[in-house]
Amino acid sequence: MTRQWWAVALLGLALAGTASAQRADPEVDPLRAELARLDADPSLGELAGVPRLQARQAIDAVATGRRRERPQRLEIARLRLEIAQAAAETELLQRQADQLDRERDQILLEASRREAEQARRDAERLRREALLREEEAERMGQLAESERLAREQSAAEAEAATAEAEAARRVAAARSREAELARREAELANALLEADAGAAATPPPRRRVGNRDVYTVSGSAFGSGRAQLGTAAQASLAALAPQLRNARSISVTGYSDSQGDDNANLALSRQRAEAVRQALVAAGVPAARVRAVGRGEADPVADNATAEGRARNRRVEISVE
Amino acid sequence: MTLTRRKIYPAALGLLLAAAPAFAIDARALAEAEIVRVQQALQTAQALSPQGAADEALRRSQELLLAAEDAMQRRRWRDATGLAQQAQAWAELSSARTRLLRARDAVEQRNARNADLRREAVR
Repeated sequence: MTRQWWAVALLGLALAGTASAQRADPEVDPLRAELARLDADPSLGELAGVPRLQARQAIDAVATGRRRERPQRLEIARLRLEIAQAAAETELLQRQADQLDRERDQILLEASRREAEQARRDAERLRREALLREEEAERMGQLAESERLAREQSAAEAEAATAEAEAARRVAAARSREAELARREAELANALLEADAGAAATPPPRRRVGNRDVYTVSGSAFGSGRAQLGTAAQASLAALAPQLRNARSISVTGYSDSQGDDNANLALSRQRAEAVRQALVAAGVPAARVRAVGRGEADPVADNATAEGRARNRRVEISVE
Repeated sequence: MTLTRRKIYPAALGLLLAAAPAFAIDARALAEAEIVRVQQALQTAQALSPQGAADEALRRSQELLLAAEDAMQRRRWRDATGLAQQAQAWAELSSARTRLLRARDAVEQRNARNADLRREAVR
């Protein structure tokens, strides 16, 4: 019976304790609720484990402490709760700071990559620009060289043209001088022949060609560029005429040198041959047996390049059969 | 010899009186240890916050420490222990607040720094 009473007493004490523990405490419950909110916070609930444990212990100590110490324990519990909240928030901020440091590293890394890429692009651009400049310089050099060559060629051509013009001018002057000298020569020869007109006239020089005798009347027998026989020449032909009166045929052929127009030379040679023919006819040679032709600069007997040769080529030949 | 209530109660009272100095020594040691902890916590809080004289929590902790030391002088060990625990909590709160402010500043600085870096990177 005594044991039964003890058991009932213990059960009553236990129930009383439970009831006391579950009894609402308007000062402690808000602290518990605040701690529960901190524990349930998705961002802070896992942080600051030790300060949260200390806060929980401090809150529990309020209920278990002496009544006289309750205000002091309540204050400690509030302080510990605030410490836990601050510590959790601090830890979260430290994690954010770490994350920001990692972001900074990533930004710097990306910036470094971009700078490297930019440097690579710049180097490539500079290389291309240098290549373009080099090509441009080469092209300009080639252009300058071609222009220089063109200038040199133009200068050479101009110089050649000048030299050619000068040479032509000199040739023309020389020819003019030569013609002048030839004219003077002829005039002097005529003057000489005319001076000898009073002397005994002699037939023109003769040579034998095949079965024909060929008499050559020198070009000096005529005035320069003219077809009129001088006095000496007429006398010489008059001296020849008696020898030709019995000839069967007489061919008078006029020739000129190679200077001047071909047609003019041909006409002059023909006129001179005709003048000789008329002189022979006038001297008594039957006209029917004498024919005159002009052959211009054909059949030269000497070099037309020299004044002496050209003088010999200017002639009238009397071929007698 | 039988133990009667008249014999047991005086014996128990004697034992308690004999053990009282031992309990008193434990309470004093506990109070002293708490005061040492408070002093260390105050040093930490002051080191964290050089301008801590203006910190309300720090000032409160110092006041409570003085009160605890006064209780020690008057050999009121339990009161000294409670005051020291209060002072300890205030000192730790001061440190926690300082750390929180520093952490906020650090995050703000890093945010600004990263924003500058991003702007620089975009240019």
